[in-house]
Amino acid sequence: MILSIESSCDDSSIAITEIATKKLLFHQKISQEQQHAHYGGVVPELASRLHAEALPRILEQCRPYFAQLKAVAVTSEPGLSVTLIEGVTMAKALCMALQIPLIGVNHLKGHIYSLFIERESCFPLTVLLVSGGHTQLIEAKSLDEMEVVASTMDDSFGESFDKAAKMMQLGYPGGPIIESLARSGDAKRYSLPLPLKQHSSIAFSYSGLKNAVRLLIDSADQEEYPHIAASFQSAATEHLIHQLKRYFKKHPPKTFAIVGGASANLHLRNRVTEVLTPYKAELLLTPLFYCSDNAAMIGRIAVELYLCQRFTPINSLHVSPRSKL
Amino acid sequence: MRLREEELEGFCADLRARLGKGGVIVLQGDLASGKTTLVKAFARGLHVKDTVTSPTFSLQQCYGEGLYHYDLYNHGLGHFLSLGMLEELEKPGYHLVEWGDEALLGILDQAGLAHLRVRIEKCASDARCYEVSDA
Repeated sequence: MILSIESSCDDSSIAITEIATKKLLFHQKISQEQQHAHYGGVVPELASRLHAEALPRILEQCRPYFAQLKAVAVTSEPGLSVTLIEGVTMAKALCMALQIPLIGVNHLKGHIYSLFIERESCFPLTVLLVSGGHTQLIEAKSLDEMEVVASTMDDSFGESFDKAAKMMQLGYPGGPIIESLARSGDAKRYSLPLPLKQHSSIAFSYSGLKNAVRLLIDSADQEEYPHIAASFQSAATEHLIHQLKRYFKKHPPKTFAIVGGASANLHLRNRVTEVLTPYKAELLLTPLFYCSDNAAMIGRIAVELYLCQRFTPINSLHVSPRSKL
Repeated sequence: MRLREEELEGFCADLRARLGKGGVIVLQGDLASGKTTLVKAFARGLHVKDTVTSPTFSLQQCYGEGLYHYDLYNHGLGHFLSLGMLEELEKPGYHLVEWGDEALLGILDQAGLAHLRVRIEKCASDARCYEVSDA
């Protein structure tokens, strides 16, 4: 069994994965967002590290597995240095105490392996990573050969939904709110600009669309919001689709995957399915529960790294806020 | 001060000169007022080659050893502090914080961290108005 730890941003999460079967035996996540409500007007000098509280609480429940652990895996990049260090410190301490090897994991690769939780991996894959923090197109040939072939130049796909919802004062998170409101709107009511239409290389951009939506909201009544939501969702998705179509012309997809929190958007899923049809490409999706940050995906990739005996010496594992695949 | 996008690099050089070796720049302005555009210009002035992307979701983006970009929009100051992020602002270099409020400015004062506040307002389709103050 492998114990895996994820603390790259808001969420503290630990999982136990069986090596031979890839079965997930234990998984728990504590969202810092929920925890934070108790702190109110926090005094910075006394501010607790929420991960430092949450991770030991979850680890306590993993004690029964300790004797059977073969390795400890931990996200070491990319993410927030101050939160990554909490997980890495715990992982190192466990490895020293239990005399087992350490495995450093790249968080973005972990997201790709969220596709393979409790199942065998399959490569090559073309992956669209769409979340609040990322909008990337990745060619994943194997565990070691992954290349970002297009990424956002400013805002992410998921973030643009959050901001559109915020500008209409509809709440957070914006993805499901906009998607739901858009169902009762006319996507053709407003013509919003398709970002980077004439751009030479394949890339994504949502900053200009955000400006256009803001201007629209400034001049519209509230009853127009469903139409604005529908028009915005359509433009945001068509931008992705336009760039995917351009990419597929030169690189026809065989197996295509959408990972990340925004992959829950049904309009996006339907449009990608339509684009894949002529290529007869298979579409893989991460189960919704594992779309956001979690230790199960870190445990899943760690199984592959363990099987290749890819361990990280305790003294040489450092955290890094940025990383390449 | 009213500036167009192409004039921002000079403005950023002035901000760096006011801060000296480094410090915190709190950026205030509505959505789509041009806060990230200012950070992009700031990065160009520091010869950062990476694309500056939004830290709204990630909270912080780091560019080399000298430029840090934060966004408190999604989660607010309390969340930022509770993750232990305040110590990041002490690192040498320039720390540009979008959606920093009066409470953050108070903490920076209290902690003795060098800082500037830049208020941005959209005053024309191709220009923004910038107001810089020490507090």
